[in-house]
Amino acid sequence: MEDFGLFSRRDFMKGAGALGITGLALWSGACESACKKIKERPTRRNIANLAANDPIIQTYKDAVAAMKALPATDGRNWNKQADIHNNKCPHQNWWFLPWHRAYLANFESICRKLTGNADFALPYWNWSTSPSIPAPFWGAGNPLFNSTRTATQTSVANSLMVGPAKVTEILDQTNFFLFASGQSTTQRQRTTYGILEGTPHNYIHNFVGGDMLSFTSPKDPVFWCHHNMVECLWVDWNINRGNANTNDQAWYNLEFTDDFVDGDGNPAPIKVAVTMLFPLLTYQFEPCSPGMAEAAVSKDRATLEKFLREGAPSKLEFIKRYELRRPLTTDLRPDAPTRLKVEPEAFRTVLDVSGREKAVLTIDEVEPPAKQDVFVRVFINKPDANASTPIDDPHYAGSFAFFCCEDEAMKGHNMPASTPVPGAAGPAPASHLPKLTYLVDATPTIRKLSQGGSLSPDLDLTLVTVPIEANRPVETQRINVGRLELAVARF
Amino acid sequence: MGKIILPALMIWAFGFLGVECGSANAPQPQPREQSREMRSDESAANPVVVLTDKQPRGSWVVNVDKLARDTEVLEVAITKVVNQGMTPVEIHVFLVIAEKDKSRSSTKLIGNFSLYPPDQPGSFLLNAATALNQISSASRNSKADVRMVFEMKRVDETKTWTPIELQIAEPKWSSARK
Repeated sequence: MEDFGLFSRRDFMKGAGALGITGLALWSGACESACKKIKERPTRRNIANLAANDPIIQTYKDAVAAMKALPATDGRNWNKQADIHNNKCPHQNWWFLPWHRAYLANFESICRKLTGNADFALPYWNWSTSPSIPAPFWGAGNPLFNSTRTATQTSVANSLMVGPAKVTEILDQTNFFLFASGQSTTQRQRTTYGILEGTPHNYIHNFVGGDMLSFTSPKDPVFWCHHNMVECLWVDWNINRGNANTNDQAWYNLEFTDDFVDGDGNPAPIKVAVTMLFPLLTYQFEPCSPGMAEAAVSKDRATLEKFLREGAPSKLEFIKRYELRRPLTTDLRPDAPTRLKVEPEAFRTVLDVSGREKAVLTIDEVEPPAKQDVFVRVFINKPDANASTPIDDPHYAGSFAFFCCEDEAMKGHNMPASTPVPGAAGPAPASHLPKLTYLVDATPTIRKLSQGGSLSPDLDLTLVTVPIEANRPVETQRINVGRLELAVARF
Repeated sequence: MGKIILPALMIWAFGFLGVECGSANAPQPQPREQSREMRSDESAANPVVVLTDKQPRGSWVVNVDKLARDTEVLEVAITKVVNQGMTPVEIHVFLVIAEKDKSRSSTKLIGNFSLYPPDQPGSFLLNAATALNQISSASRNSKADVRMVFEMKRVDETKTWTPIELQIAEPKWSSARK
């Protein structure tokens, strides 16, 4: 499976540097191009549209059963997951939505890991159109059943609280605080409920009853699908309908530090700013509201651009930098590797799996090619790497692509996309465009190499350009990079 | 819709942000049911509406003249909850506009919410813009009484009531733009 690093523009790096890197931890799919990856990210589906034997439901059942079987010391244990909510969940304030977004994303990651189904996407319960607890949550012996519920299989939620008119009313709000709950200064300070949280969210907890009445509500498997519906409505409101979240830096910059664990059970601290791009990069939704267009995905690129331009006031905290300031060019032919000398002490903190310090490769001042028909793979201590080197090679660190700029490049040159620049081996770099910065989280590779005994203080970095599609002609022959850096960072 | 005035219950004219603590018996969304639900928290300066399992409705008088033109957000604060039985409830907030000559009245749902967990207080923001448009019309007609009516219902109405008491502070109005 191939991860790719941060594939964004410089302004994105300035504004939300940690986004792509941390996102890496949550991406589990392969990627040969950023566009392809984003378009094909897993779809969170309406559970009402799934047959009883659908693999999604079976995976969810298997995952819940597996979590219940884990020892109580494992952070992924079912009751441990509920404890996270009980001890940490923000309610009645503006962090309600991003906290539960991160909570669900990590839960989904755990489900994938425990079942081996890397494409699993958590389904949602659309209580607006299906106002009874869905059939997959019933049946003795079913891991998704919870015997404490007061609602029965035939109970119907009040349409005044959760029906289509209520959903429309909520999505029609344009004020962030009315939609998403009120400003607060600490994670668990209770201020004001927005309509989404105060009405359908709260109501469904009460409607289901039993475990769902308390803050240990995640003990009921329906909790996750309920909150996934809340998440879907936020995605619709925010991305599809173009309503802005608050730009208050206090909101963006809060880090949920000791809250979550990832699919491997390791701590997964995350900043609110990082969660903003989850629905653009890591999952998408089957429409959950009357106006949520099926074609919403096509808006992602423009929406992402908007997010990038506006930036989020989050940044990496670089602890130590190791720079190589000479320009280099990466060709389709294997180039001489670029050598970075790194102090052994830097690895010590990075190799500590329980620590928060990570090794981040910065590939800076990259000139975007006019024709975005290639992407770039990064290898460590693999000087003979080429486009055929498999991505499960332990030296593979990540990749990045140029999905952002082709249209602009062509507009700028005022020529058809396929027109080569006279006198060049291929299309010239789109020099009128801002140079790009990419980050690659090299931590897993460095740890892997260390475990294999092949990590030395001198790091060889090899950048390999790879055609986006194997059978498609490639016009881009080179990519110019201005600067490389390895940094020990904390995020 | 009928309206019964009980003179023993007072009107507090504190006039905060266009809201006055209301009279005992407000016009009801469902007029066949009796109402007597407004009471003071021992102090006229800190009045509250109390909803209980026995008296699940309450109201405030809305002083239309004191509402700013751009008012559209209503904040309802449930300041105290006694619900040891953890009975799930939902609260509906209405605006009731009644002609003083009792010739006509209209009821408009402002919004609704639920407590989670059901024994926890909370403040709720509601968008009252649509309902306030009706107030504007009423305001032009000085013969109208405007009241904000709260109605508490059980989420599962097949279950019996358990003892519940909710205290609702004076509602606050504001503009959506901050």
